[in-house]
Amino acid sequence: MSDRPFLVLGLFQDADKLVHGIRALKSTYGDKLEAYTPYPIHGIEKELGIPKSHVGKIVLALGLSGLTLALGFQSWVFTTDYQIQFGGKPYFSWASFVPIVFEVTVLLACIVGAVFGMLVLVNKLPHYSHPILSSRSMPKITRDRFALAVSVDTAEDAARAEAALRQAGAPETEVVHGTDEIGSGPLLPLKPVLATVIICVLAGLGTWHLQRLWNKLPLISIMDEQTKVLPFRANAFYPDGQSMRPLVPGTVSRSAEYAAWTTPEEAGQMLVNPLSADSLTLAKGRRGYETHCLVCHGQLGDGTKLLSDKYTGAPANLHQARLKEAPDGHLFAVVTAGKNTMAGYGKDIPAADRWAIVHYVRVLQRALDASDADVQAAQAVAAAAPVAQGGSH
Amino acid sequence: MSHEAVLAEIRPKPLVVGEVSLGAVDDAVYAPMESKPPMVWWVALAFTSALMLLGFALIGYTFYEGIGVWGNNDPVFWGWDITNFVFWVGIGHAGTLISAVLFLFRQRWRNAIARLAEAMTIFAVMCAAIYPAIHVGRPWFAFWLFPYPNQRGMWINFNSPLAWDVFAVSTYFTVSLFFWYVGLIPDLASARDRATGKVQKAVFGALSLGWRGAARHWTHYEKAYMILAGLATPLVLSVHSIVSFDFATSVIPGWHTTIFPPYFVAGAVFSGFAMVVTVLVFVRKIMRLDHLITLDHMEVMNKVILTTGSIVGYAYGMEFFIAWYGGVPAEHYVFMNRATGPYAWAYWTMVSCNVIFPQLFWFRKIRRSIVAMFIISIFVNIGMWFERFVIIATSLHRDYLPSAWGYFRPTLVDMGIFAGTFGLFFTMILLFSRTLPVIATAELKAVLPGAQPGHGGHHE
Ligand code: HEC
Repeated sequence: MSDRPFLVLGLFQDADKLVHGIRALKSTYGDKLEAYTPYPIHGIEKELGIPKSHVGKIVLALGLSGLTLALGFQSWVFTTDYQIQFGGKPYFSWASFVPIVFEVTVLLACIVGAVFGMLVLVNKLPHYSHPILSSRSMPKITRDRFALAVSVDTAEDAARAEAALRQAGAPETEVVHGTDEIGSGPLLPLKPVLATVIICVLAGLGTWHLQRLWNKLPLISIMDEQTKVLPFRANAFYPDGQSMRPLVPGTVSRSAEYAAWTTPEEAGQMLVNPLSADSLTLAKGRRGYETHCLVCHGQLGDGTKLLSDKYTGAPANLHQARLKEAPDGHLFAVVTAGKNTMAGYGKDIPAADRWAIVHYVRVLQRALDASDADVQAAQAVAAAAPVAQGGSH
Repeated sequence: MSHEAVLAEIRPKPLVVGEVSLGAVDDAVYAPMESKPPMVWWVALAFTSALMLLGFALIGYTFYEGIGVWGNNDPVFWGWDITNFVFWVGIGHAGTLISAVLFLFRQRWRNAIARLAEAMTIFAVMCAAIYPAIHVGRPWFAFWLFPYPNQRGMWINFNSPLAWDVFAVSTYFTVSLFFWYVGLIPDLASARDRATGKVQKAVFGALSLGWRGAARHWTHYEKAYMILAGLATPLVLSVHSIVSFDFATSVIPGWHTTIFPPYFVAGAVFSGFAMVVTVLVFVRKIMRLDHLITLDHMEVMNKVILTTGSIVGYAYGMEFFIAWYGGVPAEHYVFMNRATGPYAWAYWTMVSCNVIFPQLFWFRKIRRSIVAMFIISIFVNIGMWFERFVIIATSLHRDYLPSAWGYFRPTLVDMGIFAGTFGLFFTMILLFSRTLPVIATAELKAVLPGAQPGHGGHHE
């Protein structure tokens, strides 16, 4: 801190005397005058020639940006990013955006505009190194004295100002040494920004680490440890150690089918496909096939499985001659009861859908080595109905 | 009343009792910060902080067990938690009203009580904010209430009054806090300059941001303060309006009424002023500030209580009138049930506490009697708590089908947590009264006789 005289303070006992003092010194010192008072003195800004405060404009700007931000954000979310119907209201229901728009407007206007703008942008606070803060007079000023300050550069200036202040009626004067420069260097204005960035990064890293711990805390993870039964889990409660209960022996499902056949071959003799192969049935069959069978038997039914090699079964090629010749009932029985490593689908797929799947398997078989007549017929159908139904042939 | 008495009543009153110099204001206000607290303070602090800890322990228990430990259950899913939330938010409103609205109306008597009232706002909103957070059951997910980009690809529902509430209460808290802080800055500078201890000097020095009372600073400061007051005024009205939307935008008979926003705001001011009176009665005596917070101040506040109490009474009547006039049987039923059903005891407690007792303030003697105003203010606090309880419980406990009717009974945990918020509130007040200036000295000095130029008088 430099040792040159910086301010000369004259302490007055009340606001009236301060105003008289200002009037006395105004003509000589003009802009170099400043008053330091324990509370705001009305009218003093005119005496000192202080221009009107422009805090209002900052607040207005921030308020308007809060308004735009909140309105724009809510509109964007509900009309573009996250269209959800709430209570039958239109996506852009501006009326119900009003409360949040209002709150955000006030928040930005107050906190960023009025508080931050006034303190930091306009008044340049915090400023802990201002020389007057360490002067003898400061405690008097915040208590009950009214200081008139003259900015000075040299010792002679200071002496002259002191005399003038005394003449204007200040019983006490003090010369304050130092400078009000906060510091210098190119980084100075960036310091608060840097500090904020560092704090944000630290807070972010902290949160990131915390949230990895978080779910392991006993209180937080407590909902994972519920004493309820989960399917396919071990469960010490039952003697067999399984969570899922076996059916009571002799249980019959309400939708159970009575099957007179025991082998697919037998079924092939006994059963006839009750459905006709119309386009609706085939569409259903295709859906069923693609849902249940495709993963193993492949898109075309040639046995090219989509499963990984961990599945060691060898799904049959449905185009082999034996299966082409096998009656519908044979296929139906395989789908219903399974065969060797293939599980049955009787429980999962209703009988009608199984028959539809059988029809679709027939379609696949025929499509893979179609005759010229078949191809021509298919092309004719495609030309007539450009938007072909799935499964038509 | 004689002619002179009438004149005395309407003439502007001095804002402090007797001749008080600028320095004497500081000496009186900063004395508690500079001396050792008396025994009563320690006893009081021990009591309130014990309550507070009890509340925290029970909140911890709630987290561990889940909110099933409360009385909330089908059909009354909003129980004491939301009641207490509305109650505490309401209490907070007096602070903003005193500091902002009365500031705009140039009611200079507010200067003596504004600081304490603002502090109460902040503490009350802290108590209030606890409830929605613990009501969600898993408060560590409370940040889901705010719209932030997330892996779930979801946004909050901006059409929901519950989301509005989040914004309203958090904005309100932030603005109140900063409003309070801005008002504190000049006083913190005084505290810094008076402080003798190293720690105090450092803390007050840091907090006061190097405030030096420059006239240029004051110009902007006053402008900003006025703007803050101007913005806090609609804000405070919006907050309780939005809280009332939580009820009013639902389709529950007894909640679905358009009178709720103004009625809630009036009720909030009513309960808040009652709480301010309750607290001030003690603070001014114990801290020997009765010459700065004068009987006249207390009287004016009692007048506000009388006014807002009458508005609330009018709203009660109007609700019944509309229930009858509107001709909706469900609504009609709810209100008859309120006054005569299983919760009639709560309803009539509310009416007598809120409508009948405050009417005693028509009498000047009662308005100026410390004992009377203390008792009535307690009644109002009780009554206003019951108002929220009645609104919530009576509207919910009779669901649409008689098979789904129920009766809300609080559990000990409910009561303990509520007591805990009182503990928190008064602990904060006690700590505040010993660590920060309870009166805005810069503001008070500015309205002393002779403080402003051109008023003559007060020359030494
Ligand atoms: C988990 C894989 C898997 C799924 C899913 C699957 N299969 Fe199979 N399928 C097989 C295997 C493996 C075989 C060969 C069984 C054997 O060893 O004979 C087979 C055999 C067949 C056979 C030949 C039976 C015979 O008589 O040789 C037919 C027909 C058949 N599946 C139809 C279907 C139909 C229709 C579906 C859909 C409902 C289906 N499969 C679903 C694995 C599967």
